[in-house]
Amino acid sequence: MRKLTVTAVLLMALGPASTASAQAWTKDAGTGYVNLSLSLLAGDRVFGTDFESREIASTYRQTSVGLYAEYGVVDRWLTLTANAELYRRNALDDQGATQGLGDFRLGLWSGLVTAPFRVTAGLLVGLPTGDSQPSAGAGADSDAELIANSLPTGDGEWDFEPTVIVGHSFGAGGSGWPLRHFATLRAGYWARTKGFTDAVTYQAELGTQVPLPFADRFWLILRLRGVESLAGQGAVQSGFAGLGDGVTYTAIAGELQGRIWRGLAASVSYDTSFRARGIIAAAPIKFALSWQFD
Amino acid sequence: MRTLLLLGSALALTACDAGFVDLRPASAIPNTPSPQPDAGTMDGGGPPANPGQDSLVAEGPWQGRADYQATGTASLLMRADGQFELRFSDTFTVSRVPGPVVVLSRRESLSGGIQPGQGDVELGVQAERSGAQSYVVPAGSDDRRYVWIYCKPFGLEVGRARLSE
Repeated sequence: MRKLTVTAVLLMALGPASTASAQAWTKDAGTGYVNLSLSLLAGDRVFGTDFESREIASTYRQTSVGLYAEYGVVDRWLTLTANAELYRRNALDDQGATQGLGDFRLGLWSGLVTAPFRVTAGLLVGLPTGDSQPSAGAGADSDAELIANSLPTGDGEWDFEPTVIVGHSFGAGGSGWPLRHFATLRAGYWARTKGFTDAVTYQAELGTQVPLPFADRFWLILRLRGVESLAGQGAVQSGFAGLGDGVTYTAIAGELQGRIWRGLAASVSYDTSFRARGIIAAAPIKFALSWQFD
Repeated sequence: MRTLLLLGSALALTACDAGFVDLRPASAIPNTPSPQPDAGTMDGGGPPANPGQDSLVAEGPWQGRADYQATGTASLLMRADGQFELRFSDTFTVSRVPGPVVVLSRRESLSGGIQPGQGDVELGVQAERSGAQSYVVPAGSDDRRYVWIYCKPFGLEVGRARLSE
């Protein structure tokens, strides 16, 4: 049985997705940020309810196009966010594929404390815009229907996630330390409906920049993040597309962002889990273009 | 704020159905659509009929495979009309997986998937995750002694009952 150490997990489809933007720093009124991403993964193993990975009959592939946006409504006090999976395709090689709109998440964020560190509170609302029970269509045989049913594009439920983020930027600028950093800690309670078990979400993030000409266009961001479902082993629904009940993971992620021109930037990120259940074990990679506007 | 709520409501109300693309090789697609299981009939997992007139052929307890859980009992019975039937006890429960089917087999393991050439017989989509249910056993298949709950799309063994006379 292969251990989980070098496998990665699909994260982009899970509810509390993190973003390239650090939400501890709320937007000023009239400013915003837009991020368009493409995520790809392929895997032939699943994480079982015992956190062990097992081989599956065929390779699972997922393609996802996401749009994330932040917009400042009131300086410090109100930033709106939207996180939409505009397109999601789940495929099992030589079996079938489903494709369509994924789920959306909308958020409200407010800066509670701005110095000496940031404390921001938010409320995220998940909308069931995806299809939790795809069908193979009228006249399809029962195998096709089984395949379609097993590849949802959404979780089919409304959810709510009150979240707190603490953020701090430090280093360089006369501090004696040659690098510039930001760090955030995030915790949330993911309250779910329609029989899904609630979960706790968490993330620690460290961004690093070299404050030299040209090099200061880049940020290297390391994250530790996860979801801890409160569901017991028997309640886990091994949906494997990342949308079932009881999904749990802890992952580390690396992201490299580079500013191209003015507010335009590009990034590439990679997530690797070392503990997960109820999802496909795979190696997702995410490419994104973002635009920050004043 | 109001706009946001209206937008959210509109999006939720207009949840989009996903499209399906069949990627199976042509040889794996049946020529005629097979009927969807109907929990109210004997074709795909319905309540036992005339239980008092049936004779028990073999039975055995359900056991979960790997990390999955399965409990209860599976029984192979011969009905008064000579037809064989597989029946799950009312204490039957099994872990939730996508695409579960019930399989009768001679094999201790379903490695390589459902193999009709090795005597595996697919009885249909699992009707319910728990509780009593029954499945018609095709003629000539009553010599199999392993009953499986099998996650067909992902090829995972979920539960197994070994039947003994």
